[in-house]
Amino acid sequence: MQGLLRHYNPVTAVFVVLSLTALAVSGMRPVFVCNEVITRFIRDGVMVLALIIPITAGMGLNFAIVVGAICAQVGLILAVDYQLGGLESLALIMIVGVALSILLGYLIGLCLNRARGREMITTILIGFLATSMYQLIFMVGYGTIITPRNPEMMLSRGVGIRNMVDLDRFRNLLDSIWVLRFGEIEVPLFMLLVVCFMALGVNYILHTRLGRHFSAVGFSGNRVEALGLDPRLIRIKAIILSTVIACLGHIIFIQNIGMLNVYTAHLNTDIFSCAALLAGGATVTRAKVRHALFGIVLFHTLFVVSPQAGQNLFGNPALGEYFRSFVAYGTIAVALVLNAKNSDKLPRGPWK
Amino acid sequence: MIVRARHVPQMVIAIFLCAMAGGALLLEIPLPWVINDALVRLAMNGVLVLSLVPMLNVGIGINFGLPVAIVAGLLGLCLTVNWRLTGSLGFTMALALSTVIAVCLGEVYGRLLNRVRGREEITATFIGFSFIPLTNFFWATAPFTNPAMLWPIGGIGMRPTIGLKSYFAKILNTWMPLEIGPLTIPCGLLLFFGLCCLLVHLFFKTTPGLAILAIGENEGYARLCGIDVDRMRRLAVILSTVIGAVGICVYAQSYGFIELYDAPMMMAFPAASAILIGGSTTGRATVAQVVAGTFLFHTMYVLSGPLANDLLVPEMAEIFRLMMTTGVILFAMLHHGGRHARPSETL
Amino acid sequence: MLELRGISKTFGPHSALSEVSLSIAAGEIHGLIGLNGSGKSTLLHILFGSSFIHETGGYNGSCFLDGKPFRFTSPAQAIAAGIGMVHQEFALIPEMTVAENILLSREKGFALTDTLFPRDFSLLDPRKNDHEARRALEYLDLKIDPRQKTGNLALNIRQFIEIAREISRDNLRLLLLDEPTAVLNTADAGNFLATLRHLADKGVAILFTSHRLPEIRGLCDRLTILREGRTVGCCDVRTASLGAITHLMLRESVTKAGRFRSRPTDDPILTIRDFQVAMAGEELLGLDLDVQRGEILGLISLSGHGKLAFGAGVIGQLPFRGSLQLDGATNPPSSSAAMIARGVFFLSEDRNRLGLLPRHSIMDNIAFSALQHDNRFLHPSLPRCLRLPDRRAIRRHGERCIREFDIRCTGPAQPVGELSGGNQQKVRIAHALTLSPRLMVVNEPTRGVDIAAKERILDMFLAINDRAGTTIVIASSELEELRRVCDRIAVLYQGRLHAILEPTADDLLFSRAISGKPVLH
Repeated sequence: MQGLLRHYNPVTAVFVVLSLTALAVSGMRPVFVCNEVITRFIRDGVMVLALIIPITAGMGLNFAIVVGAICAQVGLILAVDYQLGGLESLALIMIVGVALSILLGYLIGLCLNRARGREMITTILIGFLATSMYQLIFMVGYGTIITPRNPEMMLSRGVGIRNMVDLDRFRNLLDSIWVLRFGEIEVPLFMLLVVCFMALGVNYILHTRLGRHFSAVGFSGNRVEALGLDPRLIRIKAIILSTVIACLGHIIFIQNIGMLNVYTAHLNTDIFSCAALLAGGATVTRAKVRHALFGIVLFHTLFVVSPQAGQNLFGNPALGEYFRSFVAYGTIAVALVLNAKNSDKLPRGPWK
Repeated sequence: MIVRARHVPQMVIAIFLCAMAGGALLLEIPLPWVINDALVRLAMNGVLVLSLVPMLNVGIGINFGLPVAIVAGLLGLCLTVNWRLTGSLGFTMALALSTVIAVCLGEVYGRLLNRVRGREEITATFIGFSFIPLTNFFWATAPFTNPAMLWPIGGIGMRPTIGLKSYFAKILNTWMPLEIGPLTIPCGLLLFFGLCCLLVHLFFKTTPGLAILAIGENEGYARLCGIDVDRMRRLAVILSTVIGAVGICVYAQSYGFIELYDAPMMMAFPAASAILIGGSTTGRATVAQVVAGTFLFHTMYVLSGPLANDLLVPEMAEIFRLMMTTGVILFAMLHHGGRHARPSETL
Repeated sequence: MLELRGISKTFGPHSALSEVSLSIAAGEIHGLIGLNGSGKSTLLHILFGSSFIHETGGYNGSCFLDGKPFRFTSPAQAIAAGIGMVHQEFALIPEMTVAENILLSREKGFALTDTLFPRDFSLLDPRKNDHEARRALEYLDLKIDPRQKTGNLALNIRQFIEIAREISRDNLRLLLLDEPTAVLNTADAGNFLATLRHLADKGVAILFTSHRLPEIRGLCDRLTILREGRTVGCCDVRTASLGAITHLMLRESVTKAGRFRSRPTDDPILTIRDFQVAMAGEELLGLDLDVQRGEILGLISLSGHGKLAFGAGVIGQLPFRGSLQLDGATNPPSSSAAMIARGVFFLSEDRNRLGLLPRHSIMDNIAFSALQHDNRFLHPSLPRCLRLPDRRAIRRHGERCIREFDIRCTGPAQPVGELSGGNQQKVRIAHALTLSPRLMVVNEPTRGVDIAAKERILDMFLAINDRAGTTIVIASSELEELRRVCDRIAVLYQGRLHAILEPTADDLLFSRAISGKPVLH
């Protein structure tokens, strides 16, 4: 009980109450909600895990996981362009995506080392900038500078890729493995295991030498330099890992949906992932894998039921929609305000 | 070296502008139209950009929470339209109401920002972002009665865009126009913008203004000199909010429409970009920088549209603007970080 | 083994070390002694390759380890070369456990994952780490559980952990210790010094800074004395007397005659009793002091003994406990604004952070507080509520101050950030005087100031005191200067008043008082 109280987090408590209330008001069938939540757990789970390492390394919420998502999309578009399909090419997409995320993650790390103390706002801006560069390449560059091999995915005017690219060669490639059914509840066991495996992986990294160095940098910043560690390099490694995990997470996300919204699929992944993590009880200075897993379930329960709850309560589904985005942004705002009191502990002087 | 590095955004923008001006000449886009549009856009957006000045100067940084101020202004505008006040009376009323609402919102906003020392910018961003869906809730349910503002079917909830034609659209734009050949200079609009600039400039000459500048420069020293830092920071936030609210009124009358719902969400970024292009760092801004920055930024804006249309891809203009906007802010962030990375002092 | 030749280091215009030379043999314990600001820590940081040395322009001179020259640019290089350092401001991470701290950057992983994965991705073996940490702690005869959080431990234990971390390195050859005994009590210190002796016998060279003279004499083989960044002596401990070392440490030459005037006593402007201020590293733990109206009172102590906390507590920069009586009013509201309104002004020692508005002009800096608090310099022909200042009056006042205090500048509109340290200090004093305070508390007024400006600043204090009768409290580590301007000098030791001496008192008496020895009147 005492332990429970110590770990009490007002954000989580509010989420639990809200989710349950909204579930009751919406009148949706728990089985349906359960299925939806499982699907979303698989879709978004890995993305949320990507946030944990930068928080441990003291850089706060990494909104630049959008860049990882972009890397995944680039890999997928290339695969569609070369008309590849099947599991082997999914592996190829991962390799391309991961390679690109390592490169971009390194660049983001360099930027963040220049912006110490305001990493979060910088990652938001990096996300925006990456989005517009990505749009520039695929909306303008394709068909003018880059010659497409697959004309089906191009807009009719010959320049730029269509908004929606069908990924029928990849759709549910992984989700259909080992699907179990309990009554009406469908459990794609393989994908659940993949998410859990990634969660274990992140947990593993946190307990390795590198993970220890992440938390040392997170706790003491540049002071660890005196202990022979290179804080700049460690921070860069944290961001690279985060970007790579985000890239893998987005590949899972897209193959689950089966369609690629070329210009919008990656938007808001950062916001929703951050909100989910914070809902699970993490703060901007401290996050654990269990926060991520718990947070996804809580956040997406609320997400699934709130439009219907809005409809039932006010007769207007749009209100539920507003409530949903308010929850996403508001969670982050509240977490930032609440967490402000992590006062710098001053070293105590000699005679005490 | 440092001086040169600091001016990279300005140089890029200048080169960009020159290239675009060349393109405009080639494509025979009429010059008077460009100048005219640029002037209108300067004054139309200038007040919003100006609203960033107090918070920059007190050391909070860029006000990414500008949506808070904009919502205050929108509320003032909507109330005025709801009461069917037109003409200059309507506009004045809108300004007055916006100011009152902005003072209240700014007080709360300022208190929140005082709690998050050192993380104001990111917190402000999310206060702004989360304020939008909250107000969407309000717009969708608010008991306004003027049918011109409501959805035609059902009569509940505001329309996303409300035309101001029969109220006070372009009231400043058409006040005292000065025609020189093919040019029409909107003197009234420019005058109003100039007045706002002058007031802000004068404010930073008064003792509270000087105290705000001192806090921005050296907060610890200001506190040691007996200045109530929290109060002054709140004052700066309130001022920023009030000016922002006035700014959206000016913008709306010039545009001719009130835009509700998600429209204000991303408005902070172009404004921030404009003030940074003007040469202010993320620690200090002057009115001259506001004017110069807004002019450069929006001339680019005016030119890029028709140019991209004449090229193959019309979306390119928007993408380029976005890239410019975020690129400039990002550059300022990184550069500021690099310049202020003071070596620790241990002796 | 280690040799330093002609090491010089400047921070901006201020010189921290000039032409320091030093040599240490293997197995030698070498003491480095000097007052606060004499450059001891800077020297250690140079050896250890701390990044701020590199970032502030590096240093001149050359260092040799076993005859090979070296110049480290990061502590990682120094550690690889076998140099360890125990920091004055702890380099422990309070949120981590003892074992984690001791083994940071040398963690032990499971053998399996060590071979399977790259080094960084090897899973850590908590049992092996605990064992390693326990071994290091046992070496120091310390019986604590290595699994507890470091932040919860007492300060002396933390100091031992810091030392355990350094000496558990296998390749340790040179150990740098920055004031390691400052937080230890006598018994702990004895234990600790024995460990050092043991370590030295194994061939590790130790460079040790301290201002506890007896300790250094008991432990070290040789001793280098630094004063104002210069080596002023290097001697064998056995041959030098305590008096001679103190003398070298404090000053070389006999000062000019002090200003000593008898003042009417017992009209205190400020009375404090059991005054406690929790200033990090400079705590006051119960000071009882009367400041008499119209006097100049000096406060002296070694660093860390609380002289700087006095001003911060009185002005309300930091909260205090105990009682404070100002002009008969007991415990008035303690905020800078309220204190300034009561005629108290404080000049902090931290000139860079809390000193000035560097981008503002000289005249604006001087007029700043008077404009904010006294409504002075407001435009006479405009309504007061507009609160617009009279630029011309400000400029005139600025020009007068520049003339009167001999501020070297291009004019009153020059930004103060461009001025030298001494002139900045004059601007700060002019700023304070514009408020015409009745009590001024000044911390370290001459730190980082060149000789000429130093004289000028001391003269300013005398003149203010004479002309306006302003009471001045000067907290400084420069005994010589205090003796020249003060009427009385209070010596603090361990956060309490130790003695009040006449400025004319004997040198030896001062050095005894400063190091906490009983003083007989």
